[in-house]
Amino acid sequence: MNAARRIACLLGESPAAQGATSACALMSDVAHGFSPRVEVCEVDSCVFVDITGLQRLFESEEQIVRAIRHVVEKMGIVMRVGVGGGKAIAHIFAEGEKRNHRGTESGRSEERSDFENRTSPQTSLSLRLCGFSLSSEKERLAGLPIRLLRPSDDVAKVLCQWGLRTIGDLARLPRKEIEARLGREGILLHRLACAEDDAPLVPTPAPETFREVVDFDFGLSNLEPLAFVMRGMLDRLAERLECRGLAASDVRVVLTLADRRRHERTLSLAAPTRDAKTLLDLIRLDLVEHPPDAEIEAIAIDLIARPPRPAQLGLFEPKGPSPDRLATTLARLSAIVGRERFGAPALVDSHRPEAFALVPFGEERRNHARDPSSRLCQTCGHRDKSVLVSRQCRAGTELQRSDEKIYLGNVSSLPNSLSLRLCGFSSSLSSVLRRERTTQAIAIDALRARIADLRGPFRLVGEWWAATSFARDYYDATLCDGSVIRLYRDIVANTWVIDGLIH
Amino acid sequence: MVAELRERLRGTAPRGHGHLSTGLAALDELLGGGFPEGRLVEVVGGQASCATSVAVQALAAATRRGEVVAYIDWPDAFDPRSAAGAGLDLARTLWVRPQTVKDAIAATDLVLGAGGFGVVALDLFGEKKKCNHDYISSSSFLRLARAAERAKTTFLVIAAEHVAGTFAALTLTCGRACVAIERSKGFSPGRTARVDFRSPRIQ
Repeated sequence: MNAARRIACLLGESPAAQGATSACALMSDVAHGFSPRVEVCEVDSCVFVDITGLQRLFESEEQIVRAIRHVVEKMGIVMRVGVGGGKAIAHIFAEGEKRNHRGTESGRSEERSDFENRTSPQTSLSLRLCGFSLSSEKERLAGLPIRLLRPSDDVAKVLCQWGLRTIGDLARLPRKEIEARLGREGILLHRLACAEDDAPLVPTPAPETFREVVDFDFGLSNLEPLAFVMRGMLDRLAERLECRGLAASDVRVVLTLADRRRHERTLSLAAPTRDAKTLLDLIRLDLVEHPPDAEIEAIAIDLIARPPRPAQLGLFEPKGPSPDRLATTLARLSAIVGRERFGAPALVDSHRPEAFALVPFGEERRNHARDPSSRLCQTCGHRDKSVLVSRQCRAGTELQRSDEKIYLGNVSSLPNSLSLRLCGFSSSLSSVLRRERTTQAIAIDALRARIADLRGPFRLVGEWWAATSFARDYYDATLCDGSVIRLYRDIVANTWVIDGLIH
Repeated sequence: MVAELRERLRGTAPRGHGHLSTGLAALDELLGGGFPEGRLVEVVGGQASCATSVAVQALAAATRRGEVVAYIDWPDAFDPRSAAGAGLDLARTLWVRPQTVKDAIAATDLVLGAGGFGVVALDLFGEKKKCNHDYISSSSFLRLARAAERAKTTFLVIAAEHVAGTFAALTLTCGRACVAIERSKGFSPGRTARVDFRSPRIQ
């Protein structure tokens, strides 16, 4: 036996009630937050943690276990803990703790006091944490029932016939005689009874995907009860992420529908987060936008974990919106105004003044920082990237996927330059314009105003090499009320169009 | 000299809030440093005014400081090219194009609630019939003003007529080349600044 080795066994007390997989996974995540060497035993619904060396961080083993128990029980999982020199011994101590609580009616009262102990950390844990007393592990094992060694049925029957009731009874027998009568299993049992356990701990890799599953007794057709269930699931997932110091970068929601079909939704978050409320908002908004078309019988939520992005603030830059809240805000904006109607405007490499693109807000700056391959071309200021280009057509905006390049170079800006308000009068004005004979003034019925001064024309010709060629004569017209509008005559179609109001 | 400086400061700046530059030197001087931080500022002007340009200049000044800004564009009249020409950093601008006034108010509420935006501009400039300002309850602006105060965001409302009522900490009336303080908590009304704008280039 390695005397220096200390193994803690975390044993879920009521796996059927809590959900065995979930409780085991949760305990595993908590254990990974304390030690990198964790073995998960799904069969027994227990987790072994190598706590050797943790005394450098905690004063005693008792404090280590108290800290683990505090985190686990905060998540609503009731568990037993045992600490020993090996996995099997630790498991026996954890089982022995359970026996103490469930044995008799006095055990029930003890269970109540045990609950009170758990809720008040100041109380002594010596009653519950087996293996912490000053007496040797062998002496503590001696008082426990022999069935905790988990012998096979045949061997258990023989031991019963021999009149052995406790582990101590077995330990007192000579090993050679045991070997002669019970064979290899007898030796193993005798070694355990003598607190000799050298089975190695096989570390289980820490999972990178966190999963919660809930099956419903009745199909759900409404989003509100589903959100209520999801809140609990996401709370548990968030706590598991917190234990590991991770955050969710992607969320996958799988709904099993009444007709056995699966409705899957995957959300990529703008920034890794472990805020349950944010995640719930994002999922709920997505499900409102893409509702399932049948009743929901089960839900599974998978979170892809990544290390949280450290917030590196510039010394001379003001703090912007936090990534979590920004992601939620953008998702809510999407639900209110539509996905295509918000974003960061970007100029398109086009000769048409009205051309623009709408890119996801915040993405450009992130790409600048993260993706070295998407740096700007220093000479032309172009970046090759397929974007959602929104052609400016105020009467009815049409969206199309295009490979047109976004112009990201510096626009030559003039200080105190006026802004143009684009008007809704994009229709042809040929029928409502009339040129007066004496002056250059034009009466525009649409604006009910007379033009006092007309500056122009400024000719703009472009894309003559393509079918979309255009040629325009631009004018800045000052109306009688002092307002200035920008309008142009389409030379090809011979029509007048009000471009906008200089405001 | 210090006493004189104190006297001048007492007369020009409202207390308790910082100021954000409007991007226009004359207006900054008029307002004692710029728009009050975390307050609702109403920029009112008809067709023959420079209200939009004043707002865009404030947004541009904020992006030059490295802040993130938002433009809630109910009339769908924002022109990215001329705004970029006025110095606005488009990558730092969240442009929202709601289709109804109700959606515009809800979107503004969301953006202000997110926090971290230096300036948020709500554009309600448009035809009277189409805009129907009566639809916006005064409690909406109270809520938005509170949200702006919590987020310490300067909240600009661009409109052809007064819409924010008493919840505006500052109301500016814009002419073609001048901006006047119409109502303010801390300034005497009627003071005017002349601003010189250039026409946007056709490019």
